[in-house]
Amino acid sequence: MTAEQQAEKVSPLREIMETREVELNLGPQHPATHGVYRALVKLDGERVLGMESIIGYLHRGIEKWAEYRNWTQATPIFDRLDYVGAVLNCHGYVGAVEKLLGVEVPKKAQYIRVVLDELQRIASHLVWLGTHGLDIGAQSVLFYAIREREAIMDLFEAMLGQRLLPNAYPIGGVRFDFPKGWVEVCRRLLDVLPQRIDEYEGLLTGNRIWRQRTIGVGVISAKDAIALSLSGPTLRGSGVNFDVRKAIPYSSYEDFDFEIPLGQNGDVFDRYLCRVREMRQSLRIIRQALDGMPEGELRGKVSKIIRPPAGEAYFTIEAAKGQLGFYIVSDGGDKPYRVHVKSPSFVNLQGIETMCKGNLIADVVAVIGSLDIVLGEVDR
Amino acid sequence: MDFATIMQYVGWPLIKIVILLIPVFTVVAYMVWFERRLLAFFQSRLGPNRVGPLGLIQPIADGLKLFLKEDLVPLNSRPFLFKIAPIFAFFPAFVGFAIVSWALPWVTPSGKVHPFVVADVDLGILFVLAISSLSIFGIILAGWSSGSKYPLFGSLRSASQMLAYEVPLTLSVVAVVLLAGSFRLSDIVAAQQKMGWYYLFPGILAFGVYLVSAVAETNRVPFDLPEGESEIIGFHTEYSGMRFAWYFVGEYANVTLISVLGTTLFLGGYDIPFVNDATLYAAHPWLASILGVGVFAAKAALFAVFFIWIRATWPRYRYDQLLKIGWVVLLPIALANLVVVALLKLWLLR
Amino acid sequence: MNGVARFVKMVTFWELLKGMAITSRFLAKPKVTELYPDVRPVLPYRTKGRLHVEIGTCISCRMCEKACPEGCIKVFQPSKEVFKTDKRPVEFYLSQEHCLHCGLCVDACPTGSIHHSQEFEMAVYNPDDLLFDKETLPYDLDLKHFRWNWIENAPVKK
Repeated sequence: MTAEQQAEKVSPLREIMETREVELNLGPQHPATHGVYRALVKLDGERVLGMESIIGYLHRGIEKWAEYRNWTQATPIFDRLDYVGAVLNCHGYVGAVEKLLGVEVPKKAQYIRVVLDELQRIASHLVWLGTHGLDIGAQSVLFYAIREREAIMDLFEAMLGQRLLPNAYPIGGVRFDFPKGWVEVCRRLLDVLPQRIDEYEGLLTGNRIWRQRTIGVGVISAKDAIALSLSGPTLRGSGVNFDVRKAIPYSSYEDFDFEIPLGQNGDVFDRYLCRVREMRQSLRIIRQALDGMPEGELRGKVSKIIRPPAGEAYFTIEAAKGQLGFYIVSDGGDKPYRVHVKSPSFVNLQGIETMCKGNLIADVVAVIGSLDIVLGEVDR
Repeated sequence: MDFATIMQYVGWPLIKIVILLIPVFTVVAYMVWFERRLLAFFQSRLGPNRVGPLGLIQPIADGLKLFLKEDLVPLNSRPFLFKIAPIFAFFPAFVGFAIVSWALPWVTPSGKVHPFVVADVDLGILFVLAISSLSIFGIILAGWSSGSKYPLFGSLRSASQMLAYEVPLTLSVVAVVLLAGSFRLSDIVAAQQKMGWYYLFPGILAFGVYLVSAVAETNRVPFDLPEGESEIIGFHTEYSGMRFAWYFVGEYANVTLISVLGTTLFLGGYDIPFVNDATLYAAHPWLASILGVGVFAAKAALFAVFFIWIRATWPRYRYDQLLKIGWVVLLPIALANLVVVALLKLWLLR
Repeated sequence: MNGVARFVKMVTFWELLKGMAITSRFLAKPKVTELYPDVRPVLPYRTKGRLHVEIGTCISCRMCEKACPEGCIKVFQPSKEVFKTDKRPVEFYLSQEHCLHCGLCVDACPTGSIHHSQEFEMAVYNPDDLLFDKETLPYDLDLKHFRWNWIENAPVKK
């Protein structure tokens, strides 16, 4: 008699008490999936046995779309990849075209780009912080974070004309210099934001509920993270020191003195800390860029109709979510032959199964929040 | 049976119930407004401020909207259970108000005593605990009859949560009952008046346990798992229109009831601090009663503000952590406190 | 000592109370809600609102039409004889419905005739109402409310 048969004999209730796995559709309409993301979760009670990501609900064919527009016209559509970090997307695409064209972007334009990029990174992280907090139940953080993001959006509106999807950079530089008084307002914001971040941390970092919910949850080891080619704070939370701004400096990032915050355990809490510390580092970068703003041209020498030479280029930046790469192929015409986006959210989403397995369903929500995915970027 | 007997056992209670239910309904409706407004203020927003002055007509507008909405019954559900489930969630919360004694009794010049309570039951507090346990049926039935997975998870969570927190809640109440020597709410207040202290101080641990379990019992942050809106949407996922509103109203009625009970048990109920009731009686026979209701409401509002405040601040616990807190932390504290209070009663507060 | 402090903090719910202190700080502070229809926002100079076309200065070069990624602009040039004396377009269609507000047409315009206004209230019941033609495009700009931003955006002649 095997042990199993013995157990069956001991418990006559076994047949009645038999449990089943439940397949639960988390999404696509779910408040915590940050968009139309669907996860097919296999549950034993509340424990996650398996998880399958199902994406594609927000596929808009952006890469194909770009092939039907000329090089300049394609810039505004790439804002719509990661719509909470639009300026960074624009920088990625524009940088790739500039690389193919061989245009030298003037130093001043590079510095302005750094300022706007870092502001956008803070804005994106603020949205992440708010929604992540809301997922775990801390309501107020969302409103505080959105309030500060609103100030950044106002700065964008004053500088670029639009708040969310500003079509920030033309190929070859920037459109305008800062308007009058912009730098002063920006500096005021830089003075205010550290206190605000202290407040968020006061609400979350030390809070025992927050710590219990996040520490040791959704762990991914450095080895796994590299194997899945995760990037951005999701990778750095596991303790891997890789940041495109340091590793492959672009747009004069080598001029600035900043640190890369690293985590140790690769859990939700470490990723949270990484992002919050990154916001502080971004503030440092902006301050340095505003202080050291050089004089000079705003745009490099770019003809009105852009026809890059036949060939290909790959340009990568550190977006708010991770490493954002643009691979473009030109056949010498005025339209892109192919634009491929290596979007960080899409790649980071691969890690979710490793992180969630064996955790509870409430942890799935925390993990999705900590990955900071934007479905516009995942599905493209 | 003559007319006077019928009036005594049927007529007057009915009139009292009506007189009580109107303000209770109003208070519950305006709890929603108050919560939204205060929560917004904590979050540097304004909250509902469009409908009427200060948004005061907002609850009426919301209620009207919910009344007029289509009442959906999902295809997979068990329609009968699905339809009656909200009643179970709704009515226990209101029945509990019957035994709350709102103010000092009004003594007529002829010497007749009119207590400000619908039914001054001997075992009042036990009655509330028993009745409020019924409301879990509403939640379980809703989850089970909806024929959907999310409500099922919500109701399962709720069932275990209610089980886990009913025990410490009851034990903390028992500590008060021990101190007062009576289950009757008016006696508990009278005992506090006689002692000169509110039971907040001798029963500080019981108060803490009561507060935590009350938050859990009313399914509020940080223990709002059954309706943790960002994880599983809640046991009322499939409900719409007025049936959803019954849950909503029931929940807020529960919050009000828990606040009112907490006030009676730990904050001295309608006792006006630093004022002797006899002087008020001397000034006007009604004065003590009317002021008492006001003080009672103010004290209960403190509880409500506290609930809203923590909702604005704290994140949510996870399911297993919640149960752990209930069984491993609160229960031993409540039991130990019971022993301490018993010894206290035996030696000091005789 | 450190352990004692940590224990005291744990028992007194120190960090939870600290969080409550933070939220209570905002209770009395001024609110950030914008009461929009009552209080109109002050828009910055460069706001990209609805497109405004000065038909009088337009030279029908169709640069904006070519620059538009969504193809929402259609310019009809006058006949060759008329074009010699009067370069204004015979018809100018603009579908604000599809407009991305990217500003590429404004970049392309050699005369600064097309530019973003400050109007942002473009909600309509019928999407056709967002189709503008030569008559409706140069709408009345209320200078009190809407500051033109074409002055800054216009290319400087060298």
